[in-house]
This record gives sequence, structure tokens and C-alpha cells, in this order.
Amino acid sequence: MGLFETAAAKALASSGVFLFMTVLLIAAAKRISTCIALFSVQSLIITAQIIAVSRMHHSTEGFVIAGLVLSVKVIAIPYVLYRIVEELKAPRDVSSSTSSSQSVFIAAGLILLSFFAVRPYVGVLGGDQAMLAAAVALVLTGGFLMVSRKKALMQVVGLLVLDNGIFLAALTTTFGMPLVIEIGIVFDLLMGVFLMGLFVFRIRDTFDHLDVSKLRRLRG
Amino acid sequence: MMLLAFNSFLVAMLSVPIVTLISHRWRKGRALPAALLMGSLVVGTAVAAVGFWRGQRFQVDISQVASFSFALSMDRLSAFFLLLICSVSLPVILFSSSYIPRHYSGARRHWLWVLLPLFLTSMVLVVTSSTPFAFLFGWELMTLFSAGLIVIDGDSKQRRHNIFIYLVMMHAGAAAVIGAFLLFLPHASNFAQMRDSAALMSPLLRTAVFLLAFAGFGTKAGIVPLHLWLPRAHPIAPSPVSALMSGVMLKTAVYGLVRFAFDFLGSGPSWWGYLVLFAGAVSGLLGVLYAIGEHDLKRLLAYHSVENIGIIYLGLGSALVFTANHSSVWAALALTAALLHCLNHAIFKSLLFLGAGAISDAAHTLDLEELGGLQKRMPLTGTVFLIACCSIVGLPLFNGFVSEWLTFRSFLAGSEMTNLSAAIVLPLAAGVLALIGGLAAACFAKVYGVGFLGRPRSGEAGRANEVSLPMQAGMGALATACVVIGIFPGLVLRSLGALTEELLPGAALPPEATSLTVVLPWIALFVLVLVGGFAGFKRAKKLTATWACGLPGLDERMQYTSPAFSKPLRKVFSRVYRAERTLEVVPGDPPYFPVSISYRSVRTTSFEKFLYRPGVDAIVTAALRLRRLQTGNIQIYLLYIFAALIALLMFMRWA
Repeated sequence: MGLFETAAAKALASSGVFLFMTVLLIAAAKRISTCIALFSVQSLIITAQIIAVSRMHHSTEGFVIAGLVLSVKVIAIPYVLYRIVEELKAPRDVSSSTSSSQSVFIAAGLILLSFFAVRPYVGVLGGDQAMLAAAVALVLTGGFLMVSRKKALMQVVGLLVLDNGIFLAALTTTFGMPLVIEIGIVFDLLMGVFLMGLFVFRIRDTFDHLDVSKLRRLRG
Repeated sequence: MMLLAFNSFLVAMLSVPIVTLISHRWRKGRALPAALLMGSLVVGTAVAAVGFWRGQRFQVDISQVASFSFALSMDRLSAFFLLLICSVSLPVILFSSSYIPRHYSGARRHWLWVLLPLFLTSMVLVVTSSTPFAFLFGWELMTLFSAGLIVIDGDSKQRRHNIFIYLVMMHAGAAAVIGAFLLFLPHASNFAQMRDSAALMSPLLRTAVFLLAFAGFGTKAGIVPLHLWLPRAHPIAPSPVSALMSGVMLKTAVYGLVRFAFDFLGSGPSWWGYLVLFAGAVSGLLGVLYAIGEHDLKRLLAYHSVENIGIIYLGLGSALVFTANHSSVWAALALTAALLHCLNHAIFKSLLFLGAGAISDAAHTLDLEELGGLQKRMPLTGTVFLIACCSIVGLPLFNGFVSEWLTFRSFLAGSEMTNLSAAIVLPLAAGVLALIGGLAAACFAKVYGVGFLGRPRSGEAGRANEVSLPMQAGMGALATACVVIGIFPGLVLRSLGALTEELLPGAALPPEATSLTVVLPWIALFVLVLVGGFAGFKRAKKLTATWACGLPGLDERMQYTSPAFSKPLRKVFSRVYRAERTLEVVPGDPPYFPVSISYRSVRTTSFEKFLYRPGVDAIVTAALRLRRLQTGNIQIYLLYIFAALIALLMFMRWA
């Protein structure tokens, strides 16, 4: 086993822990820009995992996907989101409905729950338990962010975290989806972020705020 | 060959909407959709006829291509119902080819020509499918397309309400049908598998399948008390569509029940039969009683559909009772009678609805109180309508007689059963059937007498003229079919016998059925000679005015009206109608000369009041409570999803 393979295996083994740290930090973060940065870091960790996995399986496709994820999720989307935050000239706090410390505890609880949830499937699906748990934890935390944060931009970030989780689940169980599908998903996400960015501006212009909890007139 | 013809039939049917949309700008192309549709129906009829008389089978399977199990196949049962659909809709479309351009223009006409072929194709899909998916696909489309066809005639608030009731009840029925299919899981990928797995099911599961199928198909067939939608939805459709809905669409429900009860499940305990028998008796009696109280021609005909479905169910029920008692010969007779009545009802009920269309075309009303004297003004329409009336009340030499007589015969055979309950119940059912027949005769004496005889009760009816030639041809073809089947029932009976032998192993039609086919042509010949003799015998004629009880002359207001004619019967059965009467008299100065009298009599439908209202109220209350879940806050909605996700994870871990 060469040096690179050893490094790849180590990176894979420890990346789960790094992901859990990003999850807890995002839960604790108070500013939108911090969350975006953490999302970028999270995507970077996943990129590293893709490279490691594809190196171990000797697939060239994997490198293409890694390049895509790097350019879109680590660079393009966070950049776009930063620009939106800059140009909105609105308060930059996440305005959470749970306090920072409460959020961290809830996120920790979700991590525990995901460990419990994936245990029976580790043997069946293969893959590392920590990785699979991290994937479920990302999905749950993404959902939690969308529920608890009131700013429209944070719903975008929550969705992105959730998508990272789904991506990771696919990576750990089946070593990723076919290239075409991955490309589709990544571009879908990019378009989604652009569209939601536009919506955020429209919401701000129409209602003079970004607080989605105040948008409740459309009901039966 | 058959396969090719069937495929081209389907393709031709589906091409009609496209042709309609392309050709509507082109003046000469106006007749194209009707011509193409009739052409494809001729092909369909031919395929079905060969399949039915020769018993040829074939299969179209696109499961490999479509990645879900979707296959059509034809056995004798499918072929019979395909024959019913195609051969009855052919004259209806011929009628429509003149009726639709006269009454509909612009977008509404295009929509009719787009939806009609799609509606027919969905029914074809239902009866030829051999996988649950294909069946349910056709089943749902059939409901939606027919609702679309009703909407073409307008969407006022009242009509929307009726269509809403139609759709709600159809969806509830479809849910039961889907449930019946789901109980076959995991052996439910096609009908052959379901047939095999039904034999291995536990009795409880078989009963559940039967009850779900009974409720689901019963809703579509309109058995009492699931008939609520029928008298609301059928009369408000365009007349040819009413003909197709009442005559043809209801039969797909009978097909479904026969498929489930006889083909899949084979046989069951005899209470299944008693249940169907009871439903049929109640539907038949209440259907005809409500019809007697109606004065709007199309509503009256819709109630008669309930009655005839009741007669069909009586036949099916007695077949089930006989099968349960291992008397397969009589079961075959009863089943044959029920299936033949399906075909007969399809023919004469379509004819009656087309007749109603012709009347509204000529006299611009369907209210019996404003009709009258139409026989002289529309001789052909009057004659075919009379033929249809004779058929529906089951007079000999018309087709309704054959099937009703066979049903009677099977009931009377029940008295020879060793099983005591069957020996008591079946002859009683014969009494019910006789009562239904008598009441139907009274009702159609009223319809024909008030509508076609006497003097016109309104100026519109007095100015009525015979309808156009294609409309006459369409009705004439159906009337001919009534008489031909009535005199030569052997044409259909022999193949129907073969069909019941396939469904009920070890059965053969008893000699009673075949003797009828021999006797009827001779009776017809005898009647013909007798009538010819009377016509040839010249009598002295003397024309005088009708005696008017000493009054100077007769006018149309002296005639019997429709409520007056039916009053004695309504009096006898007043417990059924529960009419709410209000009489308001404003007294005048001398009390003997009141200023005004207003009388109002509303027939309450007790089903609506006691059966449906509590359920509907409960649902509305529950919905209002559940409305609190709808806060309008996006985060709450996300929370619901999130909570569901976590609950599922927990469930999967600890369940």
C-alpha cells in the first residue's frame, strides 16, 4: 500500500468526525456568513472523501465528480450566497428560534439519533458506521436548520446541508451515483440556489424583511 | 390477425382527438372525427364479435417496454363486454354525428369529439385489461373523461355540485376497487396470477376481497344506497353521453363484479349470493318507484338504470346462490340471464336516451308536462321509442323479455333446491322481479302516453318536427337490435352459454334456454300473420269528435298529466316517497274564494338524510379541526416533514 492510499484511508476514517464538528458549529453559528463558510468547509471535506474513495476504487469518474463538487459546492454556491448577504444590506444574524446553546444540544441529539438509526443497516449496506451516521446527521441537521432559522437565506443553507447528507449517503453505500446523475444533481442545486437567491431579493423588496415566519397569509 | 385488428382499433380511437384538433379549421373536415370514430368502432365490433362467437384469445403485453405491468388480453368475457361497448356506441356516435353539430359549436364541439373517443377507449381498456394496473388506469380515466363530458354542457353552481358528488362517490368506489386488488398482493401482477392465488387465500381474505369488490363496483353500477350520484350525473350530460354512461359505462361495473366474483374467486359462501340478491331487489324496487315519481324524462331514465342494474344483480345473486349450492346448471342459466340483460339494457337504454335527445332536439324540453302528441309529429322517433319502452318493460318479442324470462326461470328453479333457505328466498325474488316489471310497465305507459300520445301541452311540442336522418338511423339501428334479439335470442345465447361454461366449470345451459330460442321465432311469425290478417281485413270507418262530457270542445289541459297518472301508485307506495307537502291558502274576503293557493310537494330522499348526511357532517367537522394544522407558516410545514422523518427513523430502528 503506497503512501497515498494510506493517507486516503486515514482521511476517510477521520472525515466523519470532521463532519460532525461542522454540524455542531453550524448549529452554534450566529451569523449567516459563518454558516456559509462552514457549509463550504463541509463540502470541502466531502470533496476530500470523494477523492479518497475514487483513489481506492481506481475510478476516474470520481475525480470528475470531485472537481464538480469543488467548483460548485465549495466555491460557486458559497460565493453567490456571500454576494447575496453583502447586497441585501439586511441584518446578518440567523435569528434562530432556539438559542445557540440549545441548538448545539439538539444537533448533538440528532447525531446520537443518527448513530442509533443506522446501526442495523451498517452490515447490510456496507461502509463505515461513522460515515453513514454522518450522512443521516447531515440530513437531519439540514432539516433542523430549515425549521428553526427564520431567515430565508438560512433555509437555503439548510437545504444545501441536507443535500450534502444525501450525497454522502450515496457515496458511502454505493460509492456514488452514476456520473450523469451527479452532474444533474449538482447543476440542479446550483440553479436552485440562484432561484432562491432571486426569491430572497423579491421577499426583501416586497415585505422589507427576510423573516419567513411572518409570511403566513397564504392559508386555507 | 385479431391482434393487428385490435391494435389498429386502439390506434384509430386514439387518433380521433388529434384529427379533431387538426381538422377543425378546415371546413370540409368537420365530419372527419365522427367518420373516423365510427370506422374504428366497426373494427372494434368485428374483433369483439370474432372473439365472442369463436372464443379466440390474444394478448398485448407492453410490460417489457413500459417497465410496469400493463397488458391487455381478450377472453370470452372481455370479448362480450367489448362487443357491448363497441356495437352500442356505434349507433350512438352515428346519432351524435348529427346531434353534436346541431347543438354545440366552437370549442365545446371540439371538446366533445376529443373526449368521446377517449371515454370510449378508457372503457375498452377496463374490459380488456389483464393486469390490475391497466384496469385501474382505465377505471380512473373513465370517471374523469365522463366528468369532462358532463362539464361541456355548462358549469353552473348546481351542475358543479352534482359533478362534485359524482367524482367524490366514484373516487370512494375506486378506493374500494383498489383495495380489492391490493388484497391479492404479492400475487397481483396479472389476472392469471390472481386467479391462481385466490384459491389459496383464507376464507376471511376472500370475503374481504368480495365485499370490497361489491362495494366498489356497486358504487359505479349505482346500486341502492350507493346510487346517489346516478340520477344527478346522468341527466345533466349531453344526451348521447347520457346514453353511453347509462347504457355502457354502468356495465363495466358489472364486468368488474363478474370478473371478481366468478373468475377470480370462483365460488363463495351462499350469503354472498343473498347479499347481491338483496342489493338487486332493493335497487330494482326503489329505482322503479323513484322513476315513477319523476317528470323529467332524463332523470326518469336514470332511475330506470338503477332498476335495471338491480335486475342484473338479481341474476348475478341467484347465480352465486346456485354456485354455492353446487347447482352449476341453474347458476349458468342465471349468469347467462344477467349478462344478456347487460347487453339488452345497453341497447334499449341507449335508445331511450337517444330518444330523449331527439325529443329535446325537436321540442326543446324534457319536461313531460310540456310534451304530448309527438307520435304524429315524429313518427319514427315515436315508433323506436315505443319499441324501447316495450323492451325495457320486458314484453315478449322484445329483447328485455328474454333476459327477464331467463332470470325468472332460474328463480323458479330455486324452489327445487334441497337447501331450504335457497328454496324459500329464490322464489320470493321472482315475486320481487315481477313487481319490478309491473311497475316499470306502469312507468313507461306514463312516459309514452304523456309524451307521445294525446295533444301537445306546449307550443314547442306542437311545432316539433322529425329529427335529421343520421339521428333516425342511429335510433333505428338500436331498435332493430332490440327486435332481432327479442325474436332470435339464439344469436347471443349460444355464445353466452359457452362463456358461462368457461366461468363456471361443469356447467351447461339447461334446455329451458334453448327451447326459448326455438319457440320465439314461431310466436313472432304467428303474431305477424295475425297482425297482417287484421290489417288486410277492411272495416267500415267513421270519424267523429271525441265526446267532451258535454263541454264545447277538448283542450290539452284536460288530458291526463304525468303526476295524475302515477298518483295511484304513489299513493300505494307513499311510505317510500315520504313526500313533504305544504299547502298555503291565502283566504279571500268571502272564505270560499281564496286569493291564492300554493302547493308544494318535495320528495325527500331518505338516503341522503339518514345515511349520507351524518357521514358528510362528520368529515366536514374533522376537516375544520384539522385545518388548525394549516398555520401558513413555512417553518411549521418544514417541522411536520422533519418530525415525520425522525419518527420514521425511530420506527425503523425499534420496530
